[in-house]
Amino acid sequence: MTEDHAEAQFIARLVARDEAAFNELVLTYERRVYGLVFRMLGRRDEAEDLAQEVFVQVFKAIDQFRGESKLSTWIYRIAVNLCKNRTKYLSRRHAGEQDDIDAMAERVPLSAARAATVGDMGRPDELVEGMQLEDIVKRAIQKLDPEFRESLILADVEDMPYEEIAQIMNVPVGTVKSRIHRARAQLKALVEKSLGEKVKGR
Amino acid sequence: MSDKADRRESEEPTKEVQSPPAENAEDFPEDEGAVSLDEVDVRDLLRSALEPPPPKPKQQTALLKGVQHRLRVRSKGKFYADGWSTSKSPRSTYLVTSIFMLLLIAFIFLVLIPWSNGALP
Repeated sequence: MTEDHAEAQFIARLVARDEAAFNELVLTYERRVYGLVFRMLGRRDEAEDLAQEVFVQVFKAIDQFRGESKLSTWIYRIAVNLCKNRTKYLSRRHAGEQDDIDAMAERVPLSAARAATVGDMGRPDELVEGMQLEDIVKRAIQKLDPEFRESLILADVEDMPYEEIAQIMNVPVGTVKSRIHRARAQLKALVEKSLGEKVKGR
Repeated sequence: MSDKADRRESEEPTKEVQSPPAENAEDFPEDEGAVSLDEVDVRDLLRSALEPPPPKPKQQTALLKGVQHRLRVRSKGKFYADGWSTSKSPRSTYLVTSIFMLLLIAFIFLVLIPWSNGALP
């Protein structure tokens, strides 16, 4: 109750466009918002830009916040919506270009990575499990349907409860559960397929 | 994870892994050469792979300053206009500036007092 009261007071200061309160808001949420946006987009430069944009939108729209959810949920909702829009924009504009993850994989192809690290690690499976494995997962994540990806990141990385994810994505809880289930299956299949190919390629 | 890796190492890949339709991923038959992951593995992989890069020393304040700059520009100076309010502790900035100005005025006044006697007609 006291926490709610404190949050209500804080929101009142934000609605009054208290700059000090807004500074406090940014400092409180910047790491979480940046982390979420980075995971959604997979690109550092875009994540930094979009994280700033999230807070600008929060500042502009704070008087539309009705208090039906937690302030953090509302901020995440703005972040997710902006990520959706940015993803669409990037996919249209850079359809033929590689993102950071692709570029990273291109810079360190499997053969080069093997040659560079085989002396240090000795075991090819460890090579696959190291940097390559992270790349495989990052690539797989980017291949998921956007709605599945968002649900999965919010649930499994951000550790949010289904109810909060439902509020953020503005869908029923059942839909969230279904999306997460299917996203996990998709991701599992994609990662297993990639790992299988790498193992066979040795 | 290492147990699984050891298991993978000992297994010879014999069959081609088909590209699965996502919805039926769980129905795949076990393939001798395929790598098998359980839900916990996938979650752990996801978390480690999506760990954001550690923030640079000045990255945090950079984000705040970036947000303030955007708001200042888009509001045409209505918000974060004076540059003082963008600092973390604007009150102390005002206080220090006020004290400094008082001391400056007092110093100038004391310096000018001796000159004022004979200078005026």
